[in-house]
Amino acid sequence: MKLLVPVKRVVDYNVKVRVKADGTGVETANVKMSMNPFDEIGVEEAVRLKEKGVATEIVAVSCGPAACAEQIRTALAMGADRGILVEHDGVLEPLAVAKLLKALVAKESPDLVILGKQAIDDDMNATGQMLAALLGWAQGTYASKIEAADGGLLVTREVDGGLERIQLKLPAIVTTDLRLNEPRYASLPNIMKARKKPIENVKPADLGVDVTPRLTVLKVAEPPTRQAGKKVASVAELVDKLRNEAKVI
Amino acid sequence: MSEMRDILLEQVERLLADQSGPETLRAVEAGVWPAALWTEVEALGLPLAMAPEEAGGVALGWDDAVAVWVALGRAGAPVPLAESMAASALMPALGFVALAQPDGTALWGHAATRVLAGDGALHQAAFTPGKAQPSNEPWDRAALPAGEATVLAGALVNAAKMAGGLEAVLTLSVDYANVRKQFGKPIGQFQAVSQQLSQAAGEVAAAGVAVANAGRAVARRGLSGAEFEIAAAKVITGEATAQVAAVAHQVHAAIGFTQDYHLHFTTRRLWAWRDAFGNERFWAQRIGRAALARGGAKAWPDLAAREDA
Repeated sequence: MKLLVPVKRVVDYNVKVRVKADGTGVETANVKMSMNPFDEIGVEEAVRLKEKGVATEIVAVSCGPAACAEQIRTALAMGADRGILVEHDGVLEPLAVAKLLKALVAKESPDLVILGKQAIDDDMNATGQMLAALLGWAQGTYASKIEAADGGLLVTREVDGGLERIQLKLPAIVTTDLRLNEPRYASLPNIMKARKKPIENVKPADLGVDVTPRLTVLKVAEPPTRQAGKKVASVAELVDKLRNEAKVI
Repeated sequence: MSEMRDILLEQVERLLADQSGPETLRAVEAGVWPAALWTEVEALGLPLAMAPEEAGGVALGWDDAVAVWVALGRAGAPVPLAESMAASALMPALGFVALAQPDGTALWGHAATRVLAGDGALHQAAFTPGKAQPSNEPWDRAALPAGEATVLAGALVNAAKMAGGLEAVLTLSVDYANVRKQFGKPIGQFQAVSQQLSQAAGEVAAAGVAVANAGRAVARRGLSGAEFEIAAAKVITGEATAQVAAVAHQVHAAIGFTQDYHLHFTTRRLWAWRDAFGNERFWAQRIGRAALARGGAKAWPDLAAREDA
């Protein structure tokens, strides 16, 4: 089984994000960037499937500026076999990424694409579903467990109120949830080996994909500062405030 | 190596963030060897990283190693990884290899498989508790051959850890000054406080530059060829520690002295690392003696002629 694992370069989850002064987006200059944590879970799952003998090759993909090669290298250090960088300096919306991935799927013919359920920068939660729709493939989103079964996959999904188990025929799309696994640390010897693994560089035009944005960001602003809470002396006072001030009961 | 260094640092920082919280630091100060964390750093291949490939390492350069040590300092360095990496760069060996000062004291000596002593050889030694340090880290003592074989490496290790610790202290102080309010506004908006923090930021930046420069100098010319840069880094980080730790505690006031707040873990370590492998006075004297040996008058021309490492 051949796996394609997209990895997105995002602002590190430990960084306190700041909005640009002109309100056009968030500041990314001189900010620590990392692999999207949900994508990291996807890479880990792919490597585990390979270690179990289910997968034979893992191809890590990233779409974005040249610096995305760092996230591909991290995936290679974790155990991916080779990488593809779709280099583009402008904004890439989920639909554009899904189209780029569809073109790569046509080129690479993977049996399974494992994506993070969402990226922590824009929280779109869309690329995996869009890719499944464009390809007409089965999809198992919010996966908390993936098992090979009957020539396909048995995916446990985290849904409101419990867990849902679905059987997928291959080829398929799976998006990862937080509890699927705990990603490994890449060891130093594997980081050094990753230097020698190949990364192919392609442009959206090479794949015949138009990535022109369809959305216009009007304004990005900080959330309003939370007001300080109020202390009440009794339950009666609390109920009174909830009823007459907050008007929630 | 920059891209690979970034990946390595990301892995190390993630590991430290996961496993070196206040509980670990408190346990370490109570004398508990951080076995779980050490197992993880061994699994990552870090202790032997600087050893050549035939000895099980990956020949990690001193400049890259210094970047890792700065990250360790930022996290309070709950494991003696920097010392073990430096020791294995000089004498590769499996396990935790402690790095002894000329007087026979070594951080976590009693937990070490072996110790690299001042004579440049590996020894198995019976350590006993040494003099208590502000950091409460176990600096153990053993009867070991005297010598200066470990002094330069040890000074660079501790200067790098200080550079990281200083960054952490500055970040804590700036964050605190932005949220702690007095007279209706954050204390960081008072000019007296912001001036102190600005000066501290200058010291922290200088310390980081000096340490990175020393790492690059060792990578190019070896330890003995980079004595001046190492000495300068230890002097600059030591002086910065004195000023930045004082500013940090002044900005934080009472909260900075409480057990529950993180500041003391780092400032106490900074004070201990400042003295380890020679304080700024020790290294300033070395720079002075070297200048005098050149006739004194050549100090400035020598300095100006130094190539940028």
